[in-house]
Amino acid sequence: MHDQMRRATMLFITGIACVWLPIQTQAKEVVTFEFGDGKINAEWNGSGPVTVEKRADGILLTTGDGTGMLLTESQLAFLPDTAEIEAETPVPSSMKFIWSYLSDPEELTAYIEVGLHTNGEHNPVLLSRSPDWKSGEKEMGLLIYPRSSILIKKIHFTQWNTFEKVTSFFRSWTQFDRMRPYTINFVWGPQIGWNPLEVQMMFKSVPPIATSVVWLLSIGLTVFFIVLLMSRVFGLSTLRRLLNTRILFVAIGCSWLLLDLYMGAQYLSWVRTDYRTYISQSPEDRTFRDRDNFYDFATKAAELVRDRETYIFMSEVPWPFLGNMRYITYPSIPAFRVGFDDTWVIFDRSEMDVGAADELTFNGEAVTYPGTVLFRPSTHTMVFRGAPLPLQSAQ
Amino acid sequence: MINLLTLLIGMAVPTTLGWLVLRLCEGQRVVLHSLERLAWGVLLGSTLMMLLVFTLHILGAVQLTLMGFAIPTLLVIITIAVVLNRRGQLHMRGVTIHAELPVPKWQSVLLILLLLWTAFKLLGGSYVLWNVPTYWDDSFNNWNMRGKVFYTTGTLELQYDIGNELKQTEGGVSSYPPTVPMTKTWLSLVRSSWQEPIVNGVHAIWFLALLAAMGLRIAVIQGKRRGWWSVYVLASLPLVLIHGMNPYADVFVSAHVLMALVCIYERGKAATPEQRVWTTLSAVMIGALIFTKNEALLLYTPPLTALLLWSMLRSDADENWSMRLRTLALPLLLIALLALPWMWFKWSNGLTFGNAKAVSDTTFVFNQRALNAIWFSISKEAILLFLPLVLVMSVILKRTQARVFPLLPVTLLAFFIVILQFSILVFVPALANEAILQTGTARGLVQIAPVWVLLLFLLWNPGSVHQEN
Repeated sequence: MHDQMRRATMLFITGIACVWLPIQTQAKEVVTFEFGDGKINAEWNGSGPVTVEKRADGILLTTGDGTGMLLTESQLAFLPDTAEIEAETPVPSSMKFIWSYLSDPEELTAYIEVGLHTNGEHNPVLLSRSPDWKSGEKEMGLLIYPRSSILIKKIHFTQWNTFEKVTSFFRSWTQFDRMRPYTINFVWGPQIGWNPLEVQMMFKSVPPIATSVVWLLSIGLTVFFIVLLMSRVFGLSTLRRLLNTRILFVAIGCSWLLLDLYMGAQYLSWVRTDYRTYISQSPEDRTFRDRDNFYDFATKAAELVRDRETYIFMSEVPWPFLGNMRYITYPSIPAFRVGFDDTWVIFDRSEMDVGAADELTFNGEAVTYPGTVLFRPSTHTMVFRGAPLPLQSAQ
Repeated sequence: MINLLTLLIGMAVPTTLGWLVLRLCEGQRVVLHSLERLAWGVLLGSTLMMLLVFTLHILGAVQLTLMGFAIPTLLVIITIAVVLNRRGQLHMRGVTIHAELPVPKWQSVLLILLLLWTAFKLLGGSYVLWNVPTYWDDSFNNWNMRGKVFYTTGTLELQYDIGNELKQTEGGVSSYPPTVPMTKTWLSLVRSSWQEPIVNGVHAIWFLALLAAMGLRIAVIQGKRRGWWSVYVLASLPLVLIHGMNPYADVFVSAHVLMALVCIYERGKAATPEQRVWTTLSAVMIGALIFTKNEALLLYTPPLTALLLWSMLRSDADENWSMRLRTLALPLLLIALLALPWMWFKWSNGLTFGNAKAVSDTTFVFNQRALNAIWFSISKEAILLFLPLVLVMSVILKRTQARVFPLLPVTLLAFFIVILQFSILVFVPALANEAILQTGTARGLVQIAPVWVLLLFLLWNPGSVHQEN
């Protein structure tokens, strides 16, 4: 008995080692293209109306009215799963990562849209998610939209090793979507990212660029069901013994529990977030989901416009703030009655400010006579009372 | 604490009305479990109380004030209570829970753990609903906004300023039945102020009532344990849970659809005296359903009425036609009577028929993107977990039971409604966007989800599993 136990333990450890060691030892492949002055390690050519300016930390690509490209025919020794583009732009914008196959006589160009941040973050490109991304000699590069100015610093191409892919599979289950305006209409459910970058990007696009667990399990259960039906129709007794309704039930039950645990945990994560960011905070400090401090501002504003039938309301975008504001302040409602309304409720409009003579300004131009700031939680969010200048309207 | 008390006291009034109406319909033949009657009372009572006050209001008899709501409702409550008391029917025991066989201990432990998990989610959801501002578009533009307008003006305003020189007109949200907004108005009148926790919290009460209605009916038919399982399954559907714990009206609609269908199903298997009770209850439920949301009139009322009539014609096959027509006339009259005030009001005020978009503008063009979006939402999203797939599998495996009475009406409605809704979304250009943006799809699925859970449990009733294997 003791020997049997020892043999079983040895067998188990050997099995684990056989699976684990190759996973651990397979190397992660990374190639980085540098663009800093004196560090450029591949040949890149500008194409189309694009100005290329060398800088110490990268190359600045500037386009006018046309679309420009930066291309290379340098080949990678492996097929990367992802790319990360280190870039800077003055305003959030986008570009395309493009490629075509040198062997393709039609030179069809495939692409992936890349969102760009202003702060030089690594902007991920999930190459393996594109059905057009396959091995073969390529010309690849970046497509820059008209009137863009982008500083490209580095591009990292990575082929992740099996260990990272396996851990990404498990880490995917710890990723939850946030509660967003679309949550009342749909929830994605668990998704699988097959490498760390896919996991990181999981719920940052609509729909997620990942593999739906619901889809995978549905396919599995459907195949199971079809085989079960066929075993009955064709009277395959051995198969019928192996696959019966009870086993199908167990498979469905386990899948259901797995999904429920994930979705329930996600739901409770929303409860926790709402508690931490809103419910447990003081009205001055709290924010609510994607609407920052709008609700506390609107509640305070409602007190200040209570004696007004109408007031002027300005926010960066009308939805959802206009309707929400109307609901909160009703029976006072937002309106644009030029020359009549004297109370301005302004939520997060960077063009709106208060001038030196206590007048409300729009891009530095006065739009009211001198008035009074009734409430101003931040520079561009305020309730202002002041009669509008004649024939002035702002928005 | 005052808000919570207000909510409970405020909801006690429609619940009492609903409970008494149900008891009145039952008469000597008790067909509901006593707790089930309470759960149904919460839901049906809300609709009937608002329908009563609405009718009196449009007749010019009352304003939408505290007294305007309270006096007619209390008068009706007292009248029904007196009638029932005289008949000796006020205090009658409800039907009992179905007996069940013992199961392995691990199954009971699993069920308890899952129910605790569900309770945890419900508590968390209720806590957030009670403590956060109104966030969702349809809540602040429709359900809560209209309630606040009624509360502020004391009248059923159809046109009101909505800001920046725009007006809410008859074609928009004013065309929706006012039950949900009026309930919020009533609760605010009880509290003497518009309080977000109260007007939003009522949705959690409706959701709990729906879960109770589901669990108790399954418990009556199949036993307590299966009743609890049905509660778990329904509450585990992510989109149902999200809607149940937010101020949207679709869970409220779904509860009415469920109750109406339960009545038709039970009618199909009941003995003659109980059949009459279920017929009356079916008619009341269908009539009340019309006053919950626009799509109830166009999508649910016609098939439910047809199923009820079919069920009646089938069971009265021995009677002559004049007798059968007389029997059919009664529920139809009851449905018409309940539908009349709202229908008349719609016609007379030019309110549109249709869900947000007027049906009068309808044209038909196939939209591939809408079809793709629907397929994506039911196959790749977790909105209802695997319920659609499991249901299709179950109907195939249990096709014999699924296509005969008493289950046939449930099967037909479960699939007919979904096919109809999806067809509308795919073929009506004005509504295709509702599918592409997944707004309309979600509403439809939430409304039908309890019916799907009901069908699932009725298909797999005890005793039939072994026959299949």
